[in-house]
Amino acid sequence: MHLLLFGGFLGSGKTTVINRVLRGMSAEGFAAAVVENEIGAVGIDDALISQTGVQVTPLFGGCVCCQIAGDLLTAVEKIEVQLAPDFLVVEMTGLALMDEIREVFARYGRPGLMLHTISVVDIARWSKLVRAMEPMVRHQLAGADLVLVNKVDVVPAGAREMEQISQLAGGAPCHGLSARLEADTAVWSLVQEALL
Amino acid sequence: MTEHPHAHTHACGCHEAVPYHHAGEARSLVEHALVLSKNWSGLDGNPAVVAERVRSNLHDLARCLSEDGIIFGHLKAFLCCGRSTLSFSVTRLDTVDETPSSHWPPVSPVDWMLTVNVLSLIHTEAVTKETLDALFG
Repeated sequence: MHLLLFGGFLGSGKTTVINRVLRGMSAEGFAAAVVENEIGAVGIDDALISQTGVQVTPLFGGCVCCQIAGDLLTAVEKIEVQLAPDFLVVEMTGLALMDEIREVFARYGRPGLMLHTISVVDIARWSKLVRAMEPMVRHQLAGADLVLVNKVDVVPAGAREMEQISQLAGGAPCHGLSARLEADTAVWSLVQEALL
Repeated sequence: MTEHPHAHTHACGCHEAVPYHHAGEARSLVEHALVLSKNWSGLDGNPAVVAERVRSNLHDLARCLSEDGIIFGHLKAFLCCGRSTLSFSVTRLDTVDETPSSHWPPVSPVDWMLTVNVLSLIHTEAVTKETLDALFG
């Protein structure tokens, strides 16, 4: 089982990207399950992802990189044993810090777990977010294996911004896309080629 | 925004020397974030009218929470009328992104359920549960 952890700032498009990836996986015959972490008590993203037909395990009311890390580890272990999907996709909250969640898995996750981390960036708000909240943005990019620079249909991703994002992500490969407009197979192919 | 939330001077050169020098600031932002989520439901509604009300209210919320034309957070709403759904997403002032399901719009009248999530790292006292109830209730 491959574990794909999706992080990125609030509203960056994680759910839209994940929906594309799940449909792409399904088209190629892969079995997938999803853990949906929402910091609020009532979720929305789980309903959106459920529309793809994939089983969703909700983790609400806290962030898995800190408050409910144990719940995430338990959910991952349970899904691996009970469902044994090809891919387990975890959508983290928009407040989760990627480097911290990697640390959680490094310390407490099953040895040998195939973990891949993907950070989604909203290029339409990038310059203002990084100017005002660089520490948060930095922690959300550090530890990413792949960065998807989303919403390029709203604002094109310039070379300067892509370089800045890549540097903050420790040199991880960065790809621009519009999750809203791209085909399901295109987004899944991009993730597959970069990580698997 | 015209000032950094943590008010450092850049003169220290900390970003170059120690990448995670400000780790505590990221955690502080998370711990003090505005997080609200609530459900409402209605009977025999006109879906177009309900959707327009949601749209308008999200614009109002965005005006309370935006800074420099963007939301430092995310406003989300999910309108469910049986098999028909319409999701709303706001990250920039004056722009509400909407994603209808394949069955939208439903034939009215319909029973509906609305979920609204408000997440913001700034202006964290500008919106309360009472604000949401006044708008959507």
